[in-house]
Amino acid sequence: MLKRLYVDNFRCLVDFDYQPQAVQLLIGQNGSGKSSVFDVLDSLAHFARRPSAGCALFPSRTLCKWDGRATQTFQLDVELGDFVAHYALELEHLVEPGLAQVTTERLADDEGTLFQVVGGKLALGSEQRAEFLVGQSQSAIWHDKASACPRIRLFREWLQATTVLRLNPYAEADKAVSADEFLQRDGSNFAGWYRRLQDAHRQVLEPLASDLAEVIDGFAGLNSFKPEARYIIQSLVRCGGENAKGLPFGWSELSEGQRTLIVIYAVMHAAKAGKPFLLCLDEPDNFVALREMQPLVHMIEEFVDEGHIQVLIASHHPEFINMWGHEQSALLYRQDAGHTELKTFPPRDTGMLSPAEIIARGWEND
Amino acid sequence: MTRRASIVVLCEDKKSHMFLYRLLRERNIGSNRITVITDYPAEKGCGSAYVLNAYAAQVRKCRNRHASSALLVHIDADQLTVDRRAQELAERLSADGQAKRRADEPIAHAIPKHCIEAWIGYLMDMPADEEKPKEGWPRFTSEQWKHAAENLATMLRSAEPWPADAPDSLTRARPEFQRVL
Repeated sequence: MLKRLYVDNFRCLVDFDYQPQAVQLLIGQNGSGKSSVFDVLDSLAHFARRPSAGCALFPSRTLCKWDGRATQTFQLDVELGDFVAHYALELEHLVEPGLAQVTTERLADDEGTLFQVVGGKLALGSEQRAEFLVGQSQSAIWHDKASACPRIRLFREWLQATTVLRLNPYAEADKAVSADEFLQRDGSNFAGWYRRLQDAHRQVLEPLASDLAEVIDGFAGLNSFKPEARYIIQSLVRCGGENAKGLPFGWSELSEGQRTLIVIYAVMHAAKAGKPFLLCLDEPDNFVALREMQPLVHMIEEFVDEGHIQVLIASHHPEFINMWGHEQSALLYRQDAGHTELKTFPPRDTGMLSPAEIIARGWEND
Repeated sequence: MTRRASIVVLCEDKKSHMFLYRLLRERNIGSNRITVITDYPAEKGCGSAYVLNAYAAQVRKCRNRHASSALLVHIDADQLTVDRRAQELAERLSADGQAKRRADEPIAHAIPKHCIEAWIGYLMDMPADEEKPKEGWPRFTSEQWKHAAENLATMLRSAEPWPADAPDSLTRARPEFQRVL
């Protein structure tokens, strides 16, 4: 579980120190930095994956425009079973050729350093003399020597699995060329990702279909098959009552809201099959009908309570704000369009107002 | 179980919200058939006033839908007796020009004395002490709230008399839950 995120000099996040809960709603006006928080986590997850675009994931345009420094810092504290991993990444943005490079990358537990890269040289544990040359454009977390350490592998798996979703049902294809381990932020490779889920974690498919049947009329299940070189995903829908036979519907024949629900529910159920991971949902209420909203928020709450997953949500929807706005929210705020600050929410002396009403009245910053 | 289109839950706060939601789910009521009124106040200590204020309007909406909608209301008795709190709800209906709640109406009042934590404590095998205020109870974890809901669902399934040491307000709520389950 992510216990702390520190970001310095990334867009509006300057000296930004955030300690998330197991489930937490990020609230704040448009442009307050909610998506920037998710962008940092998404970039760090991709930085730890293979193949990785490396430092190109942090282009110079992500530097804070009014700060002037060329150094970016990212830190994560992650609770992983019986230890806490402390990860730090520092990048230096070069004027020429306009790219960033790793100046420092370090992973430690409470007992000391697990690995450290400074100036392109990797040192493992406390053996500062055991140095290996590594590139300065990629993470050293994949280095063969680092991979030998179980705690480094555990942290790497957690970071890789961090999933940020800003779903775009129009980008989701019903075909995929590969069975994908990670779901793209827009959900565009869901067909390939689901194929992998179907192959690796078949046990989650039935409860997934059962939960979806409660929110999608007639839903009987998903099916992925490979007639030629591509994976195709279909939904089975019982048209005409509970006893009707499931008819195949192509992915694009479902509504945008149905596709959004299916993707979110599938990701949540995938968490039950593996190790807990961090899921960031950026405006998951888009395309979802009002009647489907409460089953969705209740499912998130239950899965988090059961310890399967940590979920951070950015949403302006009243159902989400009222669900988590009482004690499980973080208010992001920018004074005079400056850098992002965190504020306590809800403010005091709001009487009988619900969290959503406080936001609607603009009283959250009082 | 009488099949109804939906159950609307009117409650004081997030904890009772999730407790009652889980209780209904334990009784195999689909997530799409449960609607929780979630605009309860952000500020602590206003829950019972909020429920009292919202009660008559929710009853009216429920009655307009006839048998297709049930209403489950949670309100702590706080310093009052359970009877007095129930009387307050009745007065709200009267002030709104509505008829008294009939014995066959799917409108249930879950009224713990003094607070719902007394029920959770008992359902988690702690001594029943209904006079203890909210501050006197430990801060139950969400897992404990969940187990308490499961235990209550099991008790509600049983046709046997409930244990004599059960909190009186919980025993009195038994026929109330049966109105909507």
